Amino acid sequence: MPAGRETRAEVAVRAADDASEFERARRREEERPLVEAAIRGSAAAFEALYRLHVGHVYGLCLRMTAHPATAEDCTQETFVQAWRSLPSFGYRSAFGTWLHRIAVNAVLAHGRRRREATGADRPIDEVVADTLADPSLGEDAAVIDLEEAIRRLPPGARDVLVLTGIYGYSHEEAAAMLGLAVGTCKSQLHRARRLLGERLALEEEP
Amino acid sequence: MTIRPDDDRALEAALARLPRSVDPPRDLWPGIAARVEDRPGRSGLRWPWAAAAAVVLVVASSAITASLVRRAGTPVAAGPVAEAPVPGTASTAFGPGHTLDPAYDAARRNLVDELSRRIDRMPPSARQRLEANLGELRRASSEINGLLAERPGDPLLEELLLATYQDELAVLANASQITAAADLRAVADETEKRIPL
Amino acid sequence: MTRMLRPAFVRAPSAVAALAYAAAAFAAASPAVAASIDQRSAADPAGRIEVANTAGSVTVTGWPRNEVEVTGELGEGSERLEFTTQGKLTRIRVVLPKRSYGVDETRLVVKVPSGSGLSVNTISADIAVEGVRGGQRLQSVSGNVRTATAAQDVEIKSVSGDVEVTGSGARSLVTLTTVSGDATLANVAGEVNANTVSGNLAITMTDVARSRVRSTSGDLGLRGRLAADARLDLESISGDIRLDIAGPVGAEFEVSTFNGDIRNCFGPKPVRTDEYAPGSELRFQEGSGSAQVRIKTLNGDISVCNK
Repeated sequence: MPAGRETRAEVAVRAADDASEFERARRREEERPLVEAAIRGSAAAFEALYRLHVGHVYGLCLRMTAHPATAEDCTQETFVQAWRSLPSFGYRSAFGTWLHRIAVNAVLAHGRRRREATGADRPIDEVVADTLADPSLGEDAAVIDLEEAIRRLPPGARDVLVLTGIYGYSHEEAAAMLGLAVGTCKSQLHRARRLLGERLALEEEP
Repeated sequence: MTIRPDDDRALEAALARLPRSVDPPRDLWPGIAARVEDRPGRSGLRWPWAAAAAVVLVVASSAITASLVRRAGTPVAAGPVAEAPVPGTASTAFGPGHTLDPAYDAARRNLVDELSRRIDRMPPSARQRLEANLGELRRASSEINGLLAERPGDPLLEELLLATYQDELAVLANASQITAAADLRAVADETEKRIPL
Repeated sequence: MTRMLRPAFVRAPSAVAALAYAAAAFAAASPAVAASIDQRSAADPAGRIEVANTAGSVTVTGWPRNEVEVTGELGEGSERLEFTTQGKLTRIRVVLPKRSYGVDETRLVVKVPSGSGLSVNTISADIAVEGVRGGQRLQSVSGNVRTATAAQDVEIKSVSGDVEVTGSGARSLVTLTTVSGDATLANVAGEVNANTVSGNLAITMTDVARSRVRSTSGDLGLRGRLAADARLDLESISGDIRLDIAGPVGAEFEVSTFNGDIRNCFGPKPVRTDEYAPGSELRFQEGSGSAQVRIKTLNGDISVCNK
């Protein structure tokens, strides 16, 4: 497996992610007054929440769309939609998880809009991605690393892999977020793993 | 090419190690803010303390991260240099490699402004206590900053210092909010009505 | 006479006359003497009550009727008592004239359906609440706040007023913020988040699930029984911290101070964190539970005991 290419920023972020359950719970608690103020209408509190969560939202959007400009649009769309939906937040889940659900919807809606706009059956980049993913075409350009390999997955498989493998959602949660049956979700994940495994094994060949 | 069982586990481990948080290349907030307005009935009341509290929290996370990173042997990238501190307040540096976001001072100034507009509604004894306690907070942060200069990166000192900054903002904000919430003066025009949070 | 009460925007012969109409209308509305209050209104059994008063007192008691009753005396110079109901929300506010600076005390005695949620805001009026089972949010600048709580969440904020909370032993969340006011919390359980600058806090919990208690210079005392997976955080800059744990203890302790002393009844002694600098630290496991206790001060002394 390719390793050791983490940048300092990635080490720092991972260290933050590794923070104990207690730390995470503590941070969630510290942000509760912000959530309450935002629900009551404070744009400043909402901005504070934006700053706390934008990295996680953009990270999710970027990996699902594999396209930075689109990820930016989806991130903005997520927060605007979150603002509108705040009155129904209800504390039924962590705020970050709630934002992720909205983000996934934003990504899927973006995909649908693009299909409608171009009138094509599938967006161009999906077609291209699927093409690249076909191992029988003979890969000549070396896959740079795991992130690149994920980017090249076909969108359906990529979505599931990102939600379960990177963000740790269960099959049921990921299926619900993506609007898929759990069985479809699992088979997409299997496909993603197979394609990634093949791609990354290719890279290791002398 | 078949996948061996340990490849699957190795893949899972590699995926879990990827950073979940990725900062966008530019600040996306202005685009969002343009589409986000204060809800009706709340116009005119901004609470910059909440943003500042988040700033302090973000730095707290960085401090935890940075000390973890330092233990791993990787040097910490220096943050932006803080603006000249507000006169009468302690310096806002933690020692080498750590700074508080300049937005913190701006937020604190906003809060002090906000409070000074409301202070005439506070009973004099409460106002005196408030000012005395704000002085205590400044003395505490000054003391801890002094200690940090000798022992930069000390986790206990950093944690206590952050708590003190957070407390100062919270005290300013709460004093304003409690006073505003009980401001019962009638207003001539309904649209002027101050609705407390 | 009727002409005098017309709103100012009705076209008048001159601007001066318009001003006269407005002044007269205003004068007719404000009472010049203290008035006795006696009003009531039907209310939802689990609705929300909001009370606001500047000076004097606010006493709220829960009762079994689906009705809100307000009695007391309206302070001289107050404009009126506003008593409105909108759906499940009942609002009781002592409205002051727009340009008032001094204000006489209003005494409000309010009875509310015991299942109500309650929000009270005052400047210097004392607040006393009893028998209200819904969530409570009580705020005062300098008034003292006293309440008894059931199983719902309670949030109390004060600048210089003292606070007294008596719990029911049922788990809930108590959030407390004072600047200089002292606070006593007794018989509460579940989660306490308390923050003060110089107030002294004395907290007794029947069952600690999570708590975070902080001060700058006020002393902190917490006595309680730890739940198996409790998370307890006590922090002060210069205040002394005293933790007395009741019953069996199963927890991991992390206690550190820069300049203070640590006294540990459980046995293990603190160690210096650095040979050449101040600071001492104490980490130990007591019992087999998974509770976590963290106590940190800069200058304050720390005492941890089993009582």
